[in-house]
Amino acid sequence: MSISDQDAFNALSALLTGFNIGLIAPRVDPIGLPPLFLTTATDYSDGECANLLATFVALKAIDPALTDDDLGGIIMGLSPDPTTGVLIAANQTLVAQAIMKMWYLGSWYQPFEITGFKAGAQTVVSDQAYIKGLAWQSMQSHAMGNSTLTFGYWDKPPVASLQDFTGNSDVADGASPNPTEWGATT
Amino acid sequence: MSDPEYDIVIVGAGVAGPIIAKELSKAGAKILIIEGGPETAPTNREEYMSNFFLNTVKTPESPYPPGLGADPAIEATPRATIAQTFTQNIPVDWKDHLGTGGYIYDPNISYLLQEGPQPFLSSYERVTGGTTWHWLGTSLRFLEHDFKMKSTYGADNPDYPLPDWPIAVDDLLEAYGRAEHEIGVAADVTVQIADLSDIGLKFSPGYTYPMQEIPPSVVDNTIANAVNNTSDFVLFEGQNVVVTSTPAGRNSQPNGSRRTCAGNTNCIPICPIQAKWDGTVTLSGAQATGNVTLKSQCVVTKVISAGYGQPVTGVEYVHWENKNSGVSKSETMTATAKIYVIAAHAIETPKLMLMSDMGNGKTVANSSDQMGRNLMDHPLYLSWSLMPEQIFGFRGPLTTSGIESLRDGPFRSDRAAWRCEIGNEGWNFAIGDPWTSVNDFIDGSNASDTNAGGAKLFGTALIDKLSSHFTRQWRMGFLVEQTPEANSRVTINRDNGIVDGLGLPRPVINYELSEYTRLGFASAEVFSRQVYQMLGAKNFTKNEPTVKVGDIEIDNPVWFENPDKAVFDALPDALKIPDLCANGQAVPDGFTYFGAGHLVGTFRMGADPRTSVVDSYSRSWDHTNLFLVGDGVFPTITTANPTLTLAALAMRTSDAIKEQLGITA
Amino acid sequence: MRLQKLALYFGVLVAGVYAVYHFQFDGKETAKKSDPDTPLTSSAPQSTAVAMSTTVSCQGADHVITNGTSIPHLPDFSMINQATVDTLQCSFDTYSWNLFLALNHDAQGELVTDNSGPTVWESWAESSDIFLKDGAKPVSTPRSFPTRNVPDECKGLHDGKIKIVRQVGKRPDVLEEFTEPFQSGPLIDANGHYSRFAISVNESMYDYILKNELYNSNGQKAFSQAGNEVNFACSCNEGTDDNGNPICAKGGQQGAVMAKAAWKVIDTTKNDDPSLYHTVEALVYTEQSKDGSRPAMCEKQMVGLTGFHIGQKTSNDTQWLWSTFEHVDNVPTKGEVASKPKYNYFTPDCTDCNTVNEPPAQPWNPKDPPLSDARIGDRSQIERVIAIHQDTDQMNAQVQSELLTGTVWANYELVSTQWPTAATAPNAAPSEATNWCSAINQVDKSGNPAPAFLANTTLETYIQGTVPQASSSCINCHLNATMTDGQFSDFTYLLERAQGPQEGPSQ
Repeated sequence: MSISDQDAFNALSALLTGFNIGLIAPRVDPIGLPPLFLTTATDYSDGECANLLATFVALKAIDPALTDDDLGGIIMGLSPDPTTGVLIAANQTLVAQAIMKMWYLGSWYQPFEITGFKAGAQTVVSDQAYIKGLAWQSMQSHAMGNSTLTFGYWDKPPVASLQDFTGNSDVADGASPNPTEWGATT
Repeated sequence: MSDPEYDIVIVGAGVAGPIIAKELSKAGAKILIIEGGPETAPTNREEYMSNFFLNTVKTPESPYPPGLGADPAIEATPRATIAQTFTQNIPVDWKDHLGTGGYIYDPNISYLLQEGPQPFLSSYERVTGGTTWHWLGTSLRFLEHDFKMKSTYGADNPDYPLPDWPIAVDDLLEAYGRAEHEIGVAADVTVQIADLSDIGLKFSPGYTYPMQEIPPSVVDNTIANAVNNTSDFVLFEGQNVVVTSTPAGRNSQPNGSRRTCAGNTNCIPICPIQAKWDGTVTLSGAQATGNVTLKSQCVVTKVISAGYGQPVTGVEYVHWENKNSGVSKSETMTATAKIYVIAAHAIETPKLMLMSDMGNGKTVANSSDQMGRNLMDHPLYLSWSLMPEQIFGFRGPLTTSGIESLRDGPFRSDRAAWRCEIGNEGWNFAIGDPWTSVNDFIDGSNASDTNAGGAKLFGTALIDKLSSHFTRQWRMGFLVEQTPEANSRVTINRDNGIVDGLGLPRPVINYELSEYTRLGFASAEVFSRQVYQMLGAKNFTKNEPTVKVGDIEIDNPVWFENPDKAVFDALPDALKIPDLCANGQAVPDGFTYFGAGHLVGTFRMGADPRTSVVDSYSRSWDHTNLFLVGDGVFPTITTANPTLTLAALAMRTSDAIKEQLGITA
Repeated sequence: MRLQKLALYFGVLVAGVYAVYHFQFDGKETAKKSDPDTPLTSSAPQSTAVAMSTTVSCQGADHVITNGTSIPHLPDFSMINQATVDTLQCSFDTYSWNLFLALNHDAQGELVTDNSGPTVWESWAESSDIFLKDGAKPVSTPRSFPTRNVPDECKGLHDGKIKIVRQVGKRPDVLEEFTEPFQSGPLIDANGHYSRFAISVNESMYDYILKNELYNSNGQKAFSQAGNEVNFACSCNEGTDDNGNPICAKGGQQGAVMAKAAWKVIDTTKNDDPSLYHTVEALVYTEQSKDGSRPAMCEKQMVGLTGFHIGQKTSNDTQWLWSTFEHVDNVPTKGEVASKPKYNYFTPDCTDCNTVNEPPAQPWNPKDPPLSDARIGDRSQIERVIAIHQDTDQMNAQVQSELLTGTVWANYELVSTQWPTAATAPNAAPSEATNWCSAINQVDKSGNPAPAFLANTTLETYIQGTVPQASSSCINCHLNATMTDGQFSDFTYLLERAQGPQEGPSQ
């Protein structure tokens, strides 16, 4: 059974961002970011977005045993495709990274030069793309300029957990990081 | 000459203009306000918010017209922006041409023509409501000694750089109260007195602020728990350190028709819900009297007077409109009144006044030759770090507290004081987060300096890393008191051929931080190390002596050499640990500064007409019906954000104008 | 199985079973009126022409709209597994019409068709009845029609027939200070008259305010300091959850409802036709101007309803449901031909009118109406920015023609209904302790509303766009509402009107 490009895009987005697909692509959705993001990634990637989705669907079909970590590692270019033994095309990884940034920041970062757009050129995809950016969710807050809470909320830690914000029950939710990494010096 | 059309003409609808308009129009005076920028109906917030959301660069000016990429040679009302001072706008050979017609920033991009030797980094808006559209709301009173620096700390030092004001704090207490009620300042007077009365913060007896205090953030409380009520900080021996809630012109409760602050974390560039006061609020109150006429998109080009000792008899202005890709302007018109108030802030006011030739080689209101001199800002030292535990920045108003208790002290004889503002926006100001770090952890890059290993993350690991990273970030901003310098100044040059879209000359800026000012940076770095030590935080501050323009490394114009290496040499070893130090350097090579958006000086008030432009009521010494208002009159900038004090001075000026017009209402 | 639930839900709206799922707004009179099959008997001349119900097909499903007297509750849409934003919008719009019809019946359960008697919502306490000078306690009996707080200037005109006397626009000097953000300006109709606004609340809300002393700013402060957060009662239907725990009070609960009305002066000298509007005789009060230059004044005028918001809090919609209606002659839609000869807030073929959708220039002085023709440029020239959805349009046409022909209500249309798509937090089960409200979504208290933007051209006139935070969204804006102490007021701007025993800041 084939899945639609949109479904593949949503599944890939959930895998790469770590967010629950029901949060980033809700069925009852008054905003409609997933189709906007797929269109954006398609329009600014000279066909590489379609290639990436094809790679993703093929990987899942060929080896259902691949975990999300395996799949993500392959798509991020960190480990080779287990069937071919080679890394996926670099431009597909670049598109995947651009898609992740689009979800996290609401901006499209042009991954490689295409006609009219240099690599690194940026654009805010839409106002809603900005305010729904997952970066803000990862800090258990809201986009700057779009409070979703009420007066005085800032004098206490967030009421909702990181799990609530991400729909991902595996996240650490503020568990202490390695102190040396964070520079505790005393 | 025919009777004047109005009692008062006010040039500029920012802070002081609307306040004076409201005070006088309530008393029945007929007023014309001439504003260079467009009118900003309340409904303009939709357009400005849209600009904010869709701009990739969310700098303070990003929501407002003209757009960030606009050509200052074409626009009718171009203004300084932060984006104009981005590194890519620095000619690679900038240092070679200063003093010989060169500028620090490309004049095709930068409205201000910056001749150096250092850049002036602050910006402003030219729209109705002025820069209050993007102000922070911080509403601090000046301290008792701020008004009397020379007599307090420099009486015996002929070279002491800070003069006295012609007024004392007691002269302004009543006006401060009126200004706080006009703006709507949220603070608890008992907290302010308890924390700061011993450094000279004063209130009228029985005074209360109009609104309750805005709650401190988790960040504030964490810092306060670590540092409060210690008094053994190196360089501040014996001085109490305490974190104090910041009085702010931001609603802590419903106020008139405006909503309570919802913590949008966006006072700068734009409050989405106008919970923060801006000049349009007061302007609207003035217009409601029916006595105020606002002419927007009208730029005043000349103030007319026959000579010193003669009255001002009119102002010339042109109306402009955007037409297709250019600007069309009207014939020059003249407005007349009994009283003239120029309220166009510390850059546009002196520009206008220096354009106002009287036909005898002199310009209006400048018998002292002080017009345009003593340009000041709060050069800002930014220090950012990661906490060992989550403190949840990026939440609440951009700032809710500061360390104010070191704003005064005996050290002011020798080095600049500062106030330390605590940020609630993580490293947004510091490095442009969340954008920078998200890019790092997806791409494996290290612009944030926190991904040295080049991790390329995805999925749960990405969330965990970003959560841990963002919820531990915070920063301090040290607003350093800059000394007034005769050669830090605004001038115009009609011969350089560089004009705006109306053909008017553009401000030429000379600017330099004095040794006294630079020493404040050194003390800020020493102080921040001690705070980080108490918190167990790691310092990530970068002071870069060079920057890259494309592939070319050039000297960073905002960097200057450490003025006091000896003080660092003498620090205990515990304060030289690399993790506590900016750039990891025990003895810093130097510091970089930011602008604070505070445009101060250039038409200072004083007691002596030979050394000042206006008297203590902001009245020109040279023309008794001309008032030059705003923070341009400040003889010193002190350590406090200027808006409240300039609003209080506008109240004082309003009273003087009432008296001069014979209005007693 | 989920699909069956969906079918069941829509099924129960069919007349006859209707009463089971709907709680009467007035329990005392349920016996007769709860059975929608009972024909209405009325002296109102047109009421016999009114049909009882109509079935609207919307997005492929049937929706029954009933000319009933019961305030409808909507079950949890999240139970409906296959729903989309569009299909759910049909359900919520159906709900809105049912609510509108119920609220525009009179106390005897008859649709108010000839302006002879007050509607249900007009019998409710108005904000000025609740938030009295110096925070005095409102008069709580009789429970409906609380004693009006009549300004001195109106007393001479007050004839004691309280049901037809209404103050409109309590603080017209700043006409919309409570609900139109950003002082966005007055709404001046095509005849040059300032429109007026009034907010009223049902008994559930009124009782909650009284019980908790929220009519007084000191009471509000004490309430907050005791650790409470405002939480009005939620409407719900009796039932149990999967674990057998009750999800509502026995017999169901009628929770908080509020209504906001926009009124225009009916000026027959300018060819306004009163038969096209729901009208009342009102005392139009204009407060003294802030600078004291214009004294307070009061005039008796006929006013007609042009805009109507209803907010209802339900168990699973703790952000409330927001239904908004308008008079059909208010404004044309942007981009469409202004085909009517006359609009309430738009002058066709006008060359010197104010810029479309921009507020009139200051000063705003409602004491001066009507503006002379010479000042036509100061009048509001309004277009609807976001067109009414075609599904809603079709529903409107059918309700108007099949249920409301011959009544003034046929001249009103539903603009839309705003509802939260992600209303609640995980494990949000309602209980008696929570006033039978589910716990609100703490990630995004707005609940991500649909539609994302909704404006009534009479009430959010100047902010009809689609810019987050700046453009009109009922839920996003009301999320910012607080009491006088700055604490969350549960989506109502009413509580900020409370005064304290002594007013006035010191300096």
